[in-house]
Amino acid sequence: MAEPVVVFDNVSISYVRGVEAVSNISFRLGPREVVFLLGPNGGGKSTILRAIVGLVRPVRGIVRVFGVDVKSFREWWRVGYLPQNAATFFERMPISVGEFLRASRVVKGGLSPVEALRLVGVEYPEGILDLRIHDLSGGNLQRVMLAASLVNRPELLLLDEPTVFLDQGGVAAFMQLLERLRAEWGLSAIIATHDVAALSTLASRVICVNRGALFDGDIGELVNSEQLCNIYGFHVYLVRHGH
Amino acid sequence: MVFEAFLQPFMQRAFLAGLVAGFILPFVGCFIVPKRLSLLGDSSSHFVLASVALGALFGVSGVYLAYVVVVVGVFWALRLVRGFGLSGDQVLAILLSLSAAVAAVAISRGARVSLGSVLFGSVLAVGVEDIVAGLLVSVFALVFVLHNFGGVLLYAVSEELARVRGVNVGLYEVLFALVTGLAVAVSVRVVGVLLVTALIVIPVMAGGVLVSSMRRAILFSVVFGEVALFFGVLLSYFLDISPGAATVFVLLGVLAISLFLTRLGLRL
Repeated sequence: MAEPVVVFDNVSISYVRGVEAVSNISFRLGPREVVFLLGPNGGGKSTILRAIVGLVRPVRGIVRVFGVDVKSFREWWRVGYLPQNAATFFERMPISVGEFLRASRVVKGGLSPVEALRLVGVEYPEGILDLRIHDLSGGNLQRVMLAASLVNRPELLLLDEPTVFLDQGGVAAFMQLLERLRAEWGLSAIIATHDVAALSTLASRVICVNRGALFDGDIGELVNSEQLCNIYGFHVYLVRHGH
Repeated sequence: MVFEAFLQPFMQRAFLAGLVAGFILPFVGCFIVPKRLSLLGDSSSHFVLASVALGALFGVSGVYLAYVVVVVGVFWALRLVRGFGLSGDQVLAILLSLSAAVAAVAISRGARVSLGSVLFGSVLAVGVEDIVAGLLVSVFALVFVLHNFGGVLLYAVSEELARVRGVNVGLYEVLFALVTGLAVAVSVRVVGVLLVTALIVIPVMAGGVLVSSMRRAILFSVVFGEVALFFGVLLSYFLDISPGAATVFVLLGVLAISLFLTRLGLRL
C-alpha cells in the first residue's frame, strides 16, 4: 500500500488556551487523491491547511507530510500552497506577476512564469507578466496565485478557497485542471472551500469540519440535506451535474 | 563657488556618508515599507539616541554601543511582532517611547549630548568609521539581495508564504535586523535621529508609485535617495541648515513630482 501523502493523526490545534480551533481530527490523504474540506466560517478548514504546511503547531496529535513529521519536513518544493486572502499580501506593493512567479520557483525543473500562467488558463500570459499584481482583477490575481502554487510541479497541492473571484467558467476550468494534474503529475490535493456548487462538478471525497470532523466520505453520500444541515445549521441542497 | 563645498575635508566626509545613506536607507526601505514597518526607522534611530545618551553618561563610545543596541533592538522588535501577533505600529511605538525615555533619563542625569546634531544631523559629526561601516553594510546587503532576490521578495510579501516556499525566515530575520540596524546607525550622523525615517519611506513611496516591479522600485528609490542626500548636504553647506532637514525638503519635491507623473498615467 502506497505511503499516505498527508497523515493527520488525532490533531488538536488551539490559538487561545482552552479554545480548540481544531479538535481531534484524523484523516489520511493518499497519492493522487483529491479531498475537499467543507465547513462553516471558523470551522477549522484553513487551520488544517496551515498545520499541514507547518504554520501552526498542534497542541496534540501529529501531522506527517510524505511520511515526515511536519516539524522536520524541509522539502517544501513538493508542496504547493495557496493561502486565503492572498490579495492582501500585495496591497500597494510594486511587484510584477513575472517577479512573483520567478520568486516562487525554487526548483530547476519548475515551470516558467509563462508556462505556469498558461496552465491555469491565462490566455495571453506574456501580456500580464510585467503588470503589477495589485492592479490585476480578482480573477486574474487568483489565477496568478494558483500558478505560483503550481510553479514547482508539486506533488501535494493545498488550496484555501481557490474558487473565490472565479466565475462559473473559471471554476469549471479549475476543476478540469485538477483532474488533469492528478492524471499527469500524480498530484494529490486538499481544497478548503465554501463553494458547494464547485464540489458538485468533481466526484471526490469530502471531509466536513466544524472544529471536529463531522463527515468523511464520498461526495455521493453527502448529497443528503440532513447531513449538510448538521454542518451549516440550515438546509443546503446539493445538485450534481454530470460532465 | 559650488566646488568650494567639495574641497572641505568635512564636506567630503559628509558627501561620502550621504552617498552611503542615500543608498542603504532607501534600499532597506524597499523591504521595510511593504512589511508595514515604516516606524522601524524612527524606533531604530531612537535606539541610537538612547545609546549616545547612555554612552555620554557612562563615558563610553556611544557610536559603537549604538551599533549593537540598534541591531538587537530591531531584531527583538521583529520577534515581538511575529511571536506575539502584535501590530508593527504598536510594537515600534512602544520601543520608540522606551528609547526616548531612556535618553531623557540619561540626559537629566547629566549626560552631555549635542541634541541639535543628534536629532537633525550634522555634516561636522560624520566620521570615517561611519562611512566604512556603511559601505560594508551596503555591499553585504546588495550582494545578499542580488543572490537571494526571490527569497527576499517572498519575505517582503509574506513571511508565511516565504516559509512555505522553503525560505529560512529565521535567518532572513536576523540579517534584516542586522542590515536595517546598521544602516540606521551609520546614517544618523548625517541625517539625524528624527529624519532617518524620511529616507526610508519617502524615496520608496516616490519610486514605488512610478513602477510595477520590485527591481525597478529599488533602482528608483536608491536614485531618489542619492539625489536627495547629495542636494541636501550641498544645501546644508550653503544655507547653513541641517543636512537632514534639507534632504527631507528635496525628497518631498521628488515625491510631489512622482505623484504628479503617476496622475498623468506614467507607469514604468
